[in-house]
Amino acid sequence: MPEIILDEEEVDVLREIANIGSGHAAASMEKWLERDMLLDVPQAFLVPVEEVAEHIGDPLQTVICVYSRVSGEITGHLLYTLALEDAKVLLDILLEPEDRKWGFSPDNLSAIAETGNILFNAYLTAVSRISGLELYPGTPACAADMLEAVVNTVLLEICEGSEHTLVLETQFRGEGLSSVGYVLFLAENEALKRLVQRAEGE
Amino acid sequence: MPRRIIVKMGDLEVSDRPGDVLTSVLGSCVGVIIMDRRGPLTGMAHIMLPEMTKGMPEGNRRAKYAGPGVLALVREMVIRGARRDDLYAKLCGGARLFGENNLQNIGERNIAVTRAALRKLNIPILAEKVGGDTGRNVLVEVGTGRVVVRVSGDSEEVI
Repeated sequence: MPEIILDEEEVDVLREIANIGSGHAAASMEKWLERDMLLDVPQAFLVPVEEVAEHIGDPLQTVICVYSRVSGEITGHLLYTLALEDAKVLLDILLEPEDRKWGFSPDNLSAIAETGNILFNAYLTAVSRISGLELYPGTPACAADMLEAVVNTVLLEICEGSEHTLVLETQFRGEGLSSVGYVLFLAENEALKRLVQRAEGE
Repeated sequence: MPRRIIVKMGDLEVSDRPGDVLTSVLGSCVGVIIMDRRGPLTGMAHIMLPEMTKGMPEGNRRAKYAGPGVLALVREMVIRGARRDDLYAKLCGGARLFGENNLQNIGERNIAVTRAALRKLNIPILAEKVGGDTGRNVLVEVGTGRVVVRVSGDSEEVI
């Protein structure tokens, strides 16, 4: 089986799809956090699978990460990653001070998982709407671990048929806050091509 | 100058210079470390998947799949002067980071197929730090035979 490669035009379409998905996700995040969100233009980079983690950040940095499988007419993977200091900012907003213990307590992780869940649902709803593809998020799972370990573990799901992977990455910032995390969408090239075709009306 | 050699996902590296460190970050991937009883020659392969299921060849990634990856590493060690009978292995990685209900358990299958490939070549596994639910930063010291395994939140073990 030869490798399926995405061309520049397809990457542009996918960046636009990520932009719409992220815009929708930011709107739901505004309601969830009760504050305005600023959204960076999504990055789309096509890199060899073993270099994905270093393009996202320091591979050894500990991150909190929410993962959800995307199923339906195509299979994909959504990740919401937060640096530890950004996770603290998020938890200060979400939890009452008396519930607010630091560390990876179950309450803290579930508040972050719920944030990921809200982002993923909104993101996929928008992507479904523009592509006409039925897409569903799975139950979110949360881990606190080294960035490279987390990212590579998810990449193993899509790397067999792809030497290069397209990473669609959006950074979310709250008004007056630094980053409140990144959303990454990953899928096999074949699935991404299908998404482009459907979004363009085949 | 001792070097810090990053073993990228799907690749392998070999060194016989004492002081060099071979290093990888492993989640569900498996790090196979092979050492030579007679000298400093040390290698590590960063295995991604247990086996090929879609007929997609490994390309430049000699250690993408467990079986061919172990074989390629042993071949490299033999080319660099080792005798197969003098080789022994240490294993790291193969974790399951997101719990039971999510991704397939690639880590567990990576460990099983890697072990089988080493057994077939009669290479004993003398130490391992595998499975569990945490990623590992592995640092292999060429010359001492020490493998430092760090997990997130700075706890560290030597195997």
